[in-house]
Amino acid sequence: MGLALWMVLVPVLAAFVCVLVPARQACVQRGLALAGSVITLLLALLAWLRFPGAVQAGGGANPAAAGVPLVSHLPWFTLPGLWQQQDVTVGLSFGLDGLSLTLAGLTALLALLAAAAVRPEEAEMRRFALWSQLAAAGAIAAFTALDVLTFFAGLELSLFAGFFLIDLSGDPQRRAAAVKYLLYRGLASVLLLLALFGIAYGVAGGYSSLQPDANGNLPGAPAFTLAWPALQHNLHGLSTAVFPDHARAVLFWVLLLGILVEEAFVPFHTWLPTAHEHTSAPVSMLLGGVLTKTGAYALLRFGAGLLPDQLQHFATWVAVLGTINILYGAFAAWAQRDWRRLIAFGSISHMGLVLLATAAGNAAGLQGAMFMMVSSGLLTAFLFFLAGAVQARTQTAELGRLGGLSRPLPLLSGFWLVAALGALGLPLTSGFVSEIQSFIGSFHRFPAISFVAALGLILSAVYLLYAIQQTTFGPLRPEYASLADAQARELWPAVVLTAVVLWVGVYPNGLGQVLGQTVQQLLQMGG
Amino acid sequence: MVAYAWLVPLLPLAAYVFLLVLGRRAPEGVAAGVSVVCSLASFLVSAAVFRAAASQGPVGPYLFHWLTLGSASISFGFEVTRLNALMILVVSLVSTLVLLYSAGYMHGDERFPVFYQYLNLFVFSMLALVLSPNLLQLYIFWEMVGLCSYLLVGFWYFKPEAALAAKKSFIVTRIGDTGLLIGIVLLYWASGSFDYSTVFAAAGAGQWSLGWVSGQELTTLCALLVFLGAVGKSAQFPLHVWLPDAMEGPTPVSALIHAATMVAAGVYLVARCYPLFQASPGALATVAWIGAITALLAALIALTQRDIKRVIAYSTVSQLGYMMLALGVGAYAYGVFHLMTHAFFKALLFLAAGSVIHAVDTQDLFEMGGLYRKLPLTAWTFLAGALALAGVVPFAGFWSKDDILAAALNTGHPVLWGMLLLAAFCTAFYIFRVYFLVFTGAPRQPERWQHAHEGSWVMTLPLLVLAAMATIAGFFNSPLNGDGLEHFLFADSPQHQIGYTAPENVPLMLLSLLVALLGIGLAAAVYWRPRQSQRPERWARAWGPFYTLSYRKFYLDEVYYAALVYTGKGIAAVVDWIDRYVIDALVRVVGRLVYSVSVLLKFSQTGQVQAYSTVAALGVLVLVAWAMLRAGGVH
Repeated sequence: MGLALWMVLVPVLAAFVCVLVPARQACVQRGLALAGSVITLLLALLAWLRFPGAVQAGGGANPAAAGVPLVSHLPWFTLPGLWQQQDVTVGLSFGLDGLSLTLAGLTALLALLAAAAVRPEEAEMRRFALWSQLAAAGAIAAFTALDVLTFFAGLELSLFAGFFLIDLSGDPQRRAAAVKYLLYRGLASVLLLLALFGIAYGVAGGYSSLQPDANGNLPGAPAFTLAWPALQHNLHGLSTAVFPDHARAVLFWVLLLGILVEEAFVPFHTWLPTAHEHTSAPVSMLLGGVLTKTGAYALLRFGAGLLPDQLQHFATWVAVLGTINILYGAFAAWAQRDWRRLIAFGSISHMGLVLLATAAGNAAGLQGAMFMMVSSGLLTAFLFFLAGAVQARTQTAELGRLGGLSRPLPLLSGFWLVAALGALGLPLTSGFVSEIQSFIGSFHRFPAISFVAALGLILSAVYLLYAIQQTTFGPLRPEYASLADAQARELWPAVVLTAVVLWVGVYPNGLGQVLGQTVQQLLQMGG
Repeated sequence: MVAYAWLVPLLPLAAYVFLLVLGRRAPEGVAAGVSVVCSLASFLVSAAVFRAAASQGPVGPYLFHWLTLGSASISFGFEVTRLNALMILVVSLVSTLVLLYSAGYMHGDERFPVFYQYLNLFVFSMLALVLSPNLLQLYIFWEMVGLCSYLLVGFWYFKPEAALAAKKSFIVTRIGDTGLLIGIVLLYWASGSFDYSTVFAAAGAGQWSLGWVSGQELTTLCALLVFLGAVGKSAQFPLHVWLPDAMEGPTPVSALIHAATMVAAGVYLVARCYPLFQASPGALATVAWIGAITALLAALIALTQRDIKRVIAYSTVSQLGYMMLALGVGAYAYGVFHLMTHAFFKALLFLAAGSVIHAVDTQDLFEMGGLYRKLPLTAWTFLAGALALAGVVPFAGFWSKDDILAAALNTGHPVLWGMLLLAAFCTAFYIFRVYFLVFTGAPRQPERWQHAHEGSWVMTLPLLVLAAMATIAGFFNSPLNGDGLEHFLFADSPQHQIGYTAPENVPLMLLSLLVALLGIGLAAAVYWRPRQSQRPERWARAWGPFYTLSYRKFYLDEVYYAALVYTGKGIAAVVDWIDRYVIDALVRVVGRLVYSVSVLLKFSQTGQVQAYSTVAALGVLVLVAWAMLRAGGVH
């Protein structure tokens, strides 16, 4: 017990210690960031081991955590008289169901690898360690929060930490990029907040308007709650007579709009390529790998979890949006001449598939969407890591100025090919397992849309292999003849990422069992 | 024995992992030795499995759980059928020989161990592909062999042509693969499973639907989507353009991947999914027509190519068309038979061509000549392969090609038969054009000729083995052997349910033999005698436009480039423009707007208490006035 809470607290503590240690001790700072992430990751692994047992034991009796296997509950603060003179207690409550556990673990892993990837000349270590640990803490809190307000607390923490991280690089336009990021995602937070509080009030209002039955008892009117498992449960039993469809529809669209901005979906995406282009690689790993996955998380947790009927009702819209993102992202990636922008658009294209698969609403689609979040996080971070490692040597990430790198940098080039192949969905990598499940799901519900979306499979091969051909293939450029290939200290993140990508791809059931728990739960809500 | 069939792919995988661990500094002898030993062991196990399958019939599948999708479970495993028992035998034999040959051909290459890594990975993937018991697993290894092809075509990554060819091969086949993937997904929803047996049972019954498409249409749609995958992988028209470019890879790769095994995977796929195709006459007809068009088109292109490997590559495309046609007209056994004989004689032709390239260091036919005196063994083995390809009795290609021609005519496809007969004439002509240009006459470049010499035993031994196979493999299904292959394949289906077989037709045999001899004769007349050396040029002039059309490959590359690549790049450029100058520009406008409003508001922040309190007093006044008028007083 308490694992979830400690997964949030450990990085916060690490960040706190970072403040106490002098900035010039860069090694200590890096060590703190690494240690914080390693401990968080070990906690995630421990939770992973305990997970099957906890699922069998069933969730606690507490309605605020129903259906969530691993929960840690602490009262945090009380909002007096928030609803009909009732006090509402906000919990410092975190829970690990399949999706939360996976994403929290991914956050810890990428925070670890990002800390390992920092180059002293690129960013001041203390500031990176401090903000990356806080960003990880915020993201983990958002992914594991049982309470809507706690979710926002985590979201805002990661938002501000992300702002300072982007601002760390030496790029002259970093400040503008960071502000753009902050404004966009701040707007997204407002929209999400509106939608979720709307739902909470709608549920409470709906129950309080029910008539007493013959015995004069109110039919199980629950207290006002901000805990999503309780909201989920209460919504499930609430008829559309007292919480009308049109109100739900409005809330759904506000939520969806928030998600589209949060996750950088077209046309609210321009902050993402800009941010990646003007920040350093370790920050891009965190930003592209996990900090942007909160939108997709909100889609599954609150879209599919709280408003499944609305998601089904507007599923075609969501599927079309997803397909637009897949194709727009892929074509835009093809046109890019800078690796960092290319990776950013590629990840937009991948996340479009998450929209499409989630809209399908069946087991394969939901599971595919979750796999895709993980896979996209891993591979986006992997590609940014490599682009950063090469950029540190060649001083450029422009395709036109690279070429023939296989000769001086055989190891980095090899890993780059692995990452690109994973991203284009080659079998036995995580990319394939995600795509096949997503498409199995989407073809069942939207055959025509899916035929169009499948073009993305060809396009991803086009833009990635084109970029690889420009980068590692071809005649050696004389200015790169004496570059030194990666040493062990720089290689182990690539080895770890390769191992995880292959593990998911070769034996997907390991991850599938954990994510499947959330899939089953979401299907029960929808069905 | 069959239960140990998993050893067949596992041995090359073990070799791959071993070499991967050793890294790029492994000695050549170790890399080649380990690979050849593992592959040879794999061949021996395959032979045992083949014997067992011949006596027991299909066995398996052996499965383990891979992934849960809701309530559905997806498994992994292997199975042994008569078809794939034959396939693993052919694949492991050719692989062993090519791995041995490569030790000589790649000697001295700085990435020699990496080459062997990739080749072992390929052999593993190819064997796992044919042993797959379900469509999803087939697709996984289908992509893996494509990956190995990509890596090996681009093996000399520093050559820009190789880099381009590798990318092209991956992307063109990816178009087909996407079709295959969609087909597999639709079959899954229609039948509830990826397993061949379940899918085919449902296809045979025909009572299936997906809501938006049902019954016969669904069967045809799925069959065509699966066939699209085969078209990409087996380089059939219109996706054949990648294979000739793939000749940028080292020649052993061309022999193994782009002649004997991987490109035949498309034929194997159609053969493995034959019940699905049989349920759809439309799909079968498509297969037959695509096969015939490919066979003729590629044969016509091969007539004029100057690069020795490209001639043989187009020949491969053409022969794969023969196999597809055989499957399309219902002659299942003959398609498989030709796959087998072709694997031997085409691998032989490539390895012999490699021996020539190794000796003279050029691929241009018009820089060779007279090499018989320098490379007698290569010349003789090449001749065996050429005779087999041309279809001269008693070489292997004669029996299998003749079977296909007879089947096309007997099943009522005279037009297809005519196309194939014309292609057969071209085949005999172009391969002997190569033979005469390379081995006979006077050396065109004496300094290259001077330095030419045969390779070591590791290169000549595979040539000899393959030459023997190209000579005798045809007897496996000849009337002299009582049509042994047909009996082997059909032993479990007594009424020949899975395909047409024809009685031998001696006049037809003689006709196709005559056509082959005519082609050889014409080639001899044009290219053999030195005193007629002027004649090829005159021919080319006389046939001007047709010669150019053939030499420029019917301009298909140019057409595709204009139609697909330019369009795609155009769309990408438009999207990028919209992104920068519409969406992001709007964002900037909104940003400016907010900024200018705040700049205006800034002037109200004077910092003077008097101004603030004046505004506050005014506000109170307005509120009080509003309350009096509207609510009737202040309470």
